[in-house]
Amino acid sequence: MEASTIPIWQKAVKRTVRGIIFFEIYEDEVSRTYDIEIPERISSANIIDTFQRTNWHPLKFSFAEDKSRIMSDISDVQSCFKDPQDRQISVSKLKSSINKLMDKLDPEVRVLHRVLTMTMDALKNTPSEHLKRGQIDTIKFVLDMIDKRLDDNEVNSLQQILIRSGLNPLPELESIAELYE
Amino acid sequence: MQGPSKAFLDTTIILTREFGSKEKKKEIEFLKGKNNFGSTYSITEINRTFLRDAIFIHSILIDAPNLHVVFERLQKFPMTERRIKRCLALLDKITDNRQLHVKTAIARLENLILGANKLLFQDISIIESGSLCPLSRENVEFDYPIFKLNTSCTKIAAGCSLPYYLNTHTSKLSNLQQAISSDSKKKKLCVALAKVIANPRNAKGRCCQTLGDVIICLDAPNGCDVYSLNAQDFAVICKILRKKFLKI
Repeated sequence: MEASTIPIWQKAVKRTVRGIIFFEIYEDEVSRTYDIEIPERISSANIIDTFQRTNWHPLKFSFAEDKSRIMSDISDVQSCFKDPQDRQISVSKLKSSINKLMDKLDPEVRVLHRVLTMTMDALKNTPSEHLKRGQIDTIKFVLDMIDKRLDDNEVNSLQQILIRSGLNPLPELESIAELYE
Repeated sequence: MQGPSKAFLDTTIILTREFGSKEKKKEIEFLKGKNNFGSTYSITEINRTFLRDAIFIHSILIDAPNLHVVFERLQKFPMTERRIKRCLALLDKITDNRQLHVKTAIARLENLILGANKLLFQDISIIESGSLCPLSRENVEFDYPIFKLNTSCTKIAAGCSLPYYLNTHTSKLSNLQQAISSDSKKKKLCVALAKVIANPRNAKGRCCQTLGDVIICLDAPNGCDVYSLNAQDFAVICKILRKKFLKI
């Protein structure tokens, strides 16, 4: 069979991404074979769009992946909570994952920055050895809420939840009060 | 069985509980076991000093390409040296000594502005000040990207009952004025008291700020011990106003 007579679907390369099977058609192959203008709907960006419903985000990086890493890290903190040394190591890993996500985020997602920053400050202001189990549960709840659709009012509520649990989600302002006496 | 004793905290203590030095925090740690009270007038004071500074820094930060520019601008800003010092110290803390990216510094400052009062007044039962200051009921508004907080006394705001409040305590205020008249360090307070005694309506505006400690002291309910880090002023004010001041 000549190349030009092979149907497109037979030329497509089978790919599996996160358990989802799809067939990738190379744009140059399509145009060479059929001498047609490539419609936008089959550009690679749109192939990704097709799978949005399966939690695949067409971002510069995978937000879902970073969030899932953070959630996994906080589960680690919970599971090794009894051992202060292991707890310290896992809290440190959690902070590093939060930092990595903060570095990747654009300034436009300002509200997400607020949540991540307040969680980081809460973890900085209470050393791992002084953290209580309930406070870790609260941090987990707050981090689980991170979503690009959050608004300032919702973030204010999350802040209130952290404060009520006895954490300080604001920057450490040691010795500032003396300047206001 | 008797419950924990009642403590009335002034603005310096309220700020120091969260934002004080380690030494000062340790000194006032014993207050955690008490029933703590505070006046709404302390909210007015925090709004017009600490929060106003934070909002001001935020307004500079959102325009700046980097932190260096912010510090340069702040150092030369036309305001009092004391205020510049306060703002620079606050900015240093927000940016972890100028280590952070501007975007992270902005997020931290936003969290501070929107959450400071929640943190500062946690575990404090707030008593309405006799002044009924409308500014204590002002909330921070966030009209992206700018914060707004009304901290200016117009002297004509409806609801302010400071003249009536002070008028009911004229004799005590006269005693206080006499008691401090020979103290050169309290000259400003003495002048403000004289103005108010002459006409209680003079209390509104700048005079109200000068009388802040007196107003807070008057707000302390009976049966509460008054705590302040400003012992120099509070000792004499509490003595004349017949409040029990406990020095830390």
